[in-house]
Amino acid sequence: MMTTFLHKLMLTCEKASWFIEKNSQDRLTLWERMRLQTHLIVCRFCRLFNQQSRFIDKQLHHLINDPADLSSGPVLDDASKARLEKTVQQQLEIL
Amino acid sequence: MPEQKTCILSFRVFQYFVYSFLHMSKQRTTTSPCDPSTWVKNYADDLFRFAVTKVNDPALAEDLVQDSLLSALKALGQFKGESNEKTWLISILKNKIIDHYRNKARQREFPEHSLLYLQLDETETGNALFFDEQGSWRKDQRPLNWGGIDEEHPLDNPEFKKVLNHCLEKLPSNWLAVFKLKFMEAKESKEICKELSLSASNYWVIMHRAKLQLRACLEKKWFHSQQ
Repeated sequence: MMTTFLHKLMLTCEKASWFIEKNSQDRLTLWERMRLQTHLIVCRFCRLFNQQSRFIDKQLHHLINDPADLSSGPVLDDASKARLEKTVQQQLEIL
Repeated sequence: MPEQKTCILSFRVFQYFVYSFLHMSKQRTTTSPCDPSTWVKNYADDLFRFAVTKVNDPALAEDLVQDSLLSALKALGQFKGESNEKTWLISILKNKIIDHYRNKARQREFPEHSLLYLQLDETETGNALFFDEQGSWRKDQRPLNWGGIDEEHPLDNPEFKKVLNHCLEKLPSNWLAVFKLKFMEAKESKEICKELSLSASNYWVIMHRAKLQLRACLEKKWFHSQQ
């Protein structure tokens, strides 16, 4: 009863999680922010979602952007290198 | 006038130095230290590692490295001696990776995904997997407490990175491309939409859905993997 009432009055969890995502990249309007904040006060799950969503963004940023440690990690095998070398030489001859 | 003579003489000496200096620096820029025949030997591994961390696929990474080397050869004239050869090659590679994801993100003809696209496009109720008819979290989809995560500092754990990559790969490939572009290019959502000719609502649907899936996957595979 209580939850359906709250959903009518405020945001559904679906919409709240949408606002959370939008809030992480863009600006919400004042009205949207107010609705989201009120929802977060009453909804434990969306509070968790909010926290975890920010955590995931941070991880992704780190994974994709932080200068990879180029001194270790996978290397090309010799066959691939020979192939690359050949392609480069061919192209050099054409030029 | 001996004074005037010394003055002229010293001016000539000065001129000589200036000319030789200019000549030297000119020579230095024309003979740039760019030697394509050593590229594979010196940089192939670094370029390959860089590409693998971005695309998480060795075969694709190799193709991208080859493409970048060929583009670099064609653009040799644009290489300016002042920047490092390796930095230059990596910047070309980075652009190749962004191009790759742009093309991927524009692909919408995948039959199994285009259906999703349509569904999501109409309303926001493609989320039935996560929310019930009232828009509340489904019981089995409610976020669990992950216990003491630090939102500010990334986890530097190779095992976690593996799981994160695994979860990313589970997203539809064109969604993943939009996701990667967003993080690689650090552009505003509006610009990314424009670049991919994606409507704003479609963009948010992708971001929202991708985040829901990613969160659920991480919870299952990492934070509550024992249960």
